[in-house]
Amino acid sequence: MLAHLGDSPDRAGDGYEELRLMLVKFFEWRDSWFPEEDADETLDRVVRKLDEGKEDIQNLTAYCFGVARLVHLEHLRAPERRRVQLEDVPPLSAPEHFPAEDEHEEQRLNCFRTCLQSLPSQTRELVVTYYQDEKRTRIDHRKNLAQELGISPEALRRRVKLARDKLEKCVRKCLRRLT
Amino acid sequence: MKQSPDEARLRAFLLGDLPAAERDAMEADIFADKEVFYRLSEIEDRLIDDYARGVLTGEERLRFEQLYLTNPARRQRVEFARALTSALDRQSDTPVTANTLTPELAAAKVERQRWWLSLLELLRARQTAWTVMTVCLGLLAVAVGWLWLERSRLQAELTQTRLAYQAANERQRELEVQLAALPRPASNPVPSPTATVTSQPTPLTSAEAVLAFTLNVFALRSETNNATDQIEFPSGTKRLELRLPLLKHDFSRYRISLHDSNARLIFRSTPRAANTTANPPLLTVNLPTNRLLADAYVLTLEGISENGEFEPVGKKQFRLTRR
Repeated sequence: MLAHLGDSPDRAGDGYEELRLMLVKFFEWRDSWFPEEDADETLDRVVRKLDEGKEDIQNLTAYCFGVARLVHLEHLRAPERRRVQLEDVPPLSAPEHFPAEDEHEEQRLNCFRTCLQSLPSQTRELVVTYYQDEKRTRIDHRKNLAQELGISPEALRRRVKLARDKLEKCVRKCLRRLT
Repeated sequence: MKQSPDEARLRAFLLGDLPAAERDAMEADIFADKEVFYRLSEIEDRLIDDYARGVLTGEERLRFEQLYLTNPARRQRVEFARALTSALDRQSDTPVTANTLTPELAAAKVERQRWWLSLLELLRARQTAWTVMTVCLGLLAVAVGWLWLERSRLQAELTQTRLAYQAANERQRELEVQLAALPRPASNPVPSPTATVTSQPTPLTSAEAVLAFTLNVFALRSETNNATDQIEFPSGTKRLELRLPLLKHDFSRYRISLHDSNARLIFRSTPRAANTTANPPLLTVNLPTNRLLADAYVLTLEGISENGEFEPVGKKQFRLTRR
């Protein structure tokens, strides 16, 4: 599969991440409750097809899109697949303390700061600078930012989206640990 | 904010407002063109951020909540957007929002500012260095000019001093001569014992301050020609009268010349006749003492023939000394 995604390990890795993100978003926009799992299932199926070698896949992305639609339809038709018996659910103790909104906001902020700090410095700068002027002259600001970085506005948008996605995953994990 | 039709369509897709056929077409576009995907993602992020900031209103807000708050995965995205917008907006009063979010960013900003400050300092230092160098060059030029003028002035002073020194020397010499010409208390000059003066000098008369000596001028090849007479005269003597007895009187007129030890002509008399009343005939010549220094002299006697030619007659060496 990686051979379809890039001519070098690095490019193939980036391509895989990008493809997975597209699939996750596809399932999100289809209102899936488990978009990441659905995306991984889609990719597993595609890899299996490639390993079987029965199909000549010319456009991997388009092929993945087709498989994703099938996965989504299957889940719509058999929602019970995801359901588990209550007895099978591991017991969870109720939290002793439900944080107030202010406290929760502080937790979110702490997680955000921690995760932001964990990013490479250039990525960190990029994310913050990109969203800093959200309320201001956004379009001009981002054009200037792309010019400063020597990349097109489209490449900037892609780079920022991938960085935001990483940051978001980190914050999600952090908040999960706290709650 | 006015939205382009394309963006409005994308927002409608995100809020589930597109018909199924259009939604499918849009999804196909997303997987066929990554730019559409990233554009749609950006619009969705902004939509979520706007909701987190509370700027969505009316129907749009309602549609958003129906879709995003009822889905656990999407709700987590709203949580993240709240954290992001909160962090950014809390710093909205601070101009350098990006760099105050984390200590590291703040430190990085400070580092960059330091770098710029260092560059500015360097530029300022260079400007200062240029200014200092210019001032130094100016001072150096002034110093060189001053030294050149001072050297010219000193040279002029040196020339004047030399001239003054020469003038002083000449003046000293003149004064010495004048001093020598002053009358002294009467005292007879005592010829040197080694002198071969053939007659005693006449007594010095204070009025004229004249000292008379008689010299024997020998023939040029005389054996006694090498003898040197020594004439000593007092400082006050104005004239020195030399009397030359002619042992052989062959010419009607004679000329007397006096040369110093460097063979420079000191004195040359006009042609004159010998006093034949004296026995032997006598030639007399008066030498002004201001032209004579303590030195060795050679007196030459020449006879003037009938056809005007000068013929050597005799020569006498003597040494003058002052007392």
